[in-house]
Amino acid sequence: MRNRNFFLFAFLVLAVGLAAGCAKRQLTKGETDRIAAIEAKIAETERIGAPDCIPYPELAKAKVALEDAKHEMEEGNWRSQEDADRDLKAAEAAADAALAKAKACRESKKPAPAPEPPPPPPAPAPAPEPPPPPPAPAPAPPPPAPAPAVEEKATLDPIYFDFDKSFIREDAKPALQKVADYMKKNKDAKIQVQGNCDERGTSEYNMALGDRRAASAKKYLTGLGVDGKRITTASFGKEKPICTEHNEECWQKNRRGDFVLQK
Amino acid sequence: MKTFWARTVLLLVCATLIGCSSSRYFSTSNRIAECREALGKAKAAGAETKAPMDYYMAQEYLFYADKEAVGDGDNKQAQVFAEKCKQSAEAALQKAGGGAK
Repeated sequence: MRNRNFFLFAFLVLAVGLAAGCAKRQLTKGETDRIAAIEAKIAETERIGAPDCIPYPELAKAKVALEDAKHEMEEGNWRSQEDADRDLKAAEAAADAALAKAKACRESKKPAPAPEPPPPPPAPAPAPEPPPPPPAPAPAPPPPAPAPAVEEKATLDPIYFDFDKSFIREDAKPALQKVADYMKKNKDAKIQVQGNCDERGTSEYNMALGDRRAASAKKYLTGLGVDGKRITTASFGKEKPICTEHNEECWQKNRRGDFVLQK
Repeated sequence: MKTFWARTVLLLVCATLIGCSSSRYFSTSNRIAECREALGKAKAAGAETKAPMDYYMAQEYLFYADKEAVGDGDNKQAQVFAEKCKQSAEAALQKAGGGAK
């Protein structure tokens, strides 16, 4: 009897677990709104871009990322929620890029305005009027205002890393030297070193890798004589790509360390 | 005797589970490989310019199939994307004039 109750209980637990695991989650209002906004942008891109201005790579990326986001949302567990959010962001970015490209292309293909018709022939000149009295001498113009001082803006180049590595490459050293020179010249300046990664690998892994890259750049800068207290580090993992294609050339651009001046 | 049967049943259950999961894994790998092959043929036929929408859709499906299989371990969804990738790549190949005549 006791055994029977135990099996019944185990069966019930299993059934509830299976039902919960297999049930498809309903999308929230916020999620459906975001999806609708992306779909609207995709439709707008196709409308504006057709037939010769459709940015195919971005449009395809937006469509498939959205499809994956919908799938992840329906799965409904915490991990798929993170994935869904990432996919939605990717779809939004791709849809925005596609729309912007389609608009720019359409603008550039607009026909040039037709030349204005030639002015009508001039009417016969009326009788000449007596010449006006000579104008009074104009007052001297005020002296020109001094030009506003132009703030010197530092251009700190990013540095790049090898795949899955955080050591400083030879080609990154001149850029780091430039940053160190700037920091020595501007004693009050503070910078943040931001580590970024390409899209491959999990978010967690890339956040850690970005941290290591930023720390590695900071260590190199302190080795060049910059006070470590003036350098902070941050990692964006793979969340701040500057290129969204899926090839090595693009991934290399994203495996980088940025230097951002802090106020 | 009882222990023998219990062990045998446990072993069979384990073998079945491993067999099932590995068959799905291999099936996913095969489908992704088929998709890659179809995409390669489409590219060789000039689909990138002749049928760009299908070509780029196939490329994106391949990326997400890989992501689901390797990153998320969701072989079922990976197979769905791999299948769509293959279909898009074949459509691109056909539009580019490189399909079976």
